Amino acid sequence: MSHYEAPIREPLVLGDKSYHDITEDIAKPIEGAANKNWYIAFYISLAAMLWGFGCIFYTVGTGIGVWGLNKNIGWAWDITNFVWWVGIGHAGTLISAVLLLFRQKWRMAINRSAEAMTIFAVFQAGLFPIIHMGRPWNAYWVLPLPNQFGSLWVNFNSPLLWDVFAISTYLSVYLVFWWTGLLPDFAMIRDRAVKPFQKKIYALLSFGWSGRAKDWQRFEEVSLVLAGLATPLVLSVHTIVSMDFATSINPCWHSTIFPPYFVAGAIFSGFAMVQTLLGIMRKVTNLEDYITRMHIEYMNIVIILTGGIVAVAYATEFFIAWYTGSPYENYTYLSVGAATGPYWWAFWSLITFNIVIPQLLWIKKFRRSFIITFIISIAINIGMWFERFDIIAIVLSKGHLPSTWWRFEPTFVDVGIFIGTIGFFFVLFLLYARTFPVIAQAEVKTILKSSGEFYKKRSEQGIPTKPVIEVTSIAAINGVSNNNKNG
Amino acid sequence: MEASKVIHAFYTDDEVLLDAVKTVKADHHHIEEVFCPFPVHGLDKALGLAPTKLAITAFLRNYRFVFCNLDDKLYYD
Repeated sequence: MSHYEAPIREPLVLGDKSYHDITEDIAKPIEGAANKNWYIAFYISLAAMLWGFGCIFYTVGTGIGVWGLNKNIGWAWDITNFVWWVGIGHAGTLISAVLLLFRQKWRMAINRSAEAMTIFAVFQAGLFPIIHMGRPWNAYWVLPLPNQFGSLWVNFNSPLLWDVFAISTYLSVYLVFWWTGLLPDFAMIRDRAVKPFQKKIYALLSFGWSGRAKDWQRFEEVSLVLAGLATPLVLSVHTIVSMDFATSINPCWHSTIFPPYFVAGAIFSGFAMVQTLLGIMRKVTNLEDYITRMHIEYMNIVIILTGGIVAVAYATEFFIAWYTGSPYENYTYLSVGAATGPYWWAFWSLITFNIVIPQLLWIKKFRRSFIITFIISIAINIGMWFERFDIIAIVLSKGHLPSTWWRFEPTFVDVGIFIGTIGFFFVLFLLYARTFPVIAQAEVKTILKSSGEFYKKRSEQGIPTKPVIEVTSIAAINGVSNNNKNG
Repeated sequence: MEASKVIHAFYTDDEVLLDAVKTVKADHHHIEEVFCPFPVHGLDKALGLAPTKLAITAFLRNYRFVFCNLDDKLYYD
């Protein structure tokens, strides 16, 4: 039997589904009209996005002085938001590249949306350093391009330049990875489309995919090669983001624990965002049979693991800060000074949302509950934002001299730009959910017989997955065939 | 000779399709093309498609880019 899976494994596709049912279910959100909830969510996100764009124009037109920065805290919300968004983008890499190499079948229902989330999150992340430049029209200066300024060249010693390379590599590899996976699914929509305009658009998007045997052979090979290329990115991107801090000579930031701790934190926050988005998406697009309790539980297990790594890193930082006996270390973001100082609320938000609340996931009942998972995922999103805020604002607020003690107060522009990026992210995601096949249907079809509930039950009863009928129909003899290739 | 006879067959199941491909191949008939809506594992081998050299090409191209292009660049400047 070619399609066999141990009966102990729970099904990944629920219900009495045939191959055609999968096609119908996944094409429905694209072919049907959007419901009221979609429009409400879209307009709220659009309003937030426009407000954020207004704040960006105000910043660029007036200057960075409209932010709450001061001579001591030269970057605060912008870099916090940058690191937060890059981190969110990390789950996509892990789900689609690492889990592909490890042959984890459960990734198939969620990889498309995780990759979309990655790409949209990287867009938001990229906005912040560009706005912080103050003159965003000169943003191309960060690239090592030949120029008319004599020997002026980018600073290869700066981790900010490594960031440029890391983030742009990440974005380009991910766009290719995402689009390659989308080709057969776009072709499916193309072959089903009835409106000529829609057919034309999806024909362009699918790059002339025909579904012949050679196409599939190439498709699988390219997926594997890209997964191999993308796997080092899981580690490299956030390592380099952490080096923005770790290569500086600021105590507390100048720390070898930062790269592994940032990578674990990024996967932690990325999975939390996937849980938040999928929790909404499976309801809005009626895909409850594909994104099941099993998927939620597997992701929660990853969250427990990476959250545990983050918690151990916090404990280490806290202990070492105390153990040095240096009074300066008492002002770093994980110390008694931080817990009782003016930023006590930021410290305790971090501890509560990032360490205490995720521990609830040890309980199996909570791990398998959609509502509790959704609430915990939002808590982790908040907690991970506070982690970056604490690292930056608390540490910078207390310099070596009391005359440099200065707190950061965000202005409405800081808050507006952050809200704007959340709006922009959801605008992109909502548009994606209406126009792209949100589940990799071709891949899900390959596991239907081994992991589908219907077929699993049959094989437990000893009924073979292979039907008895040999040929369903012979379409044409010596003539033109019908053109039904996908669907 | 009846060699020019063309048959188009439509299957609804991947296992049946794979068996059919193997049977037809065993009888030494030519299979022009197989279209499927999702990847059928082992179909390329059953059809006798040559394995793709994409992976090795990607690796070698990268090697050439890193070691040879940079080398060229040094001589240029």
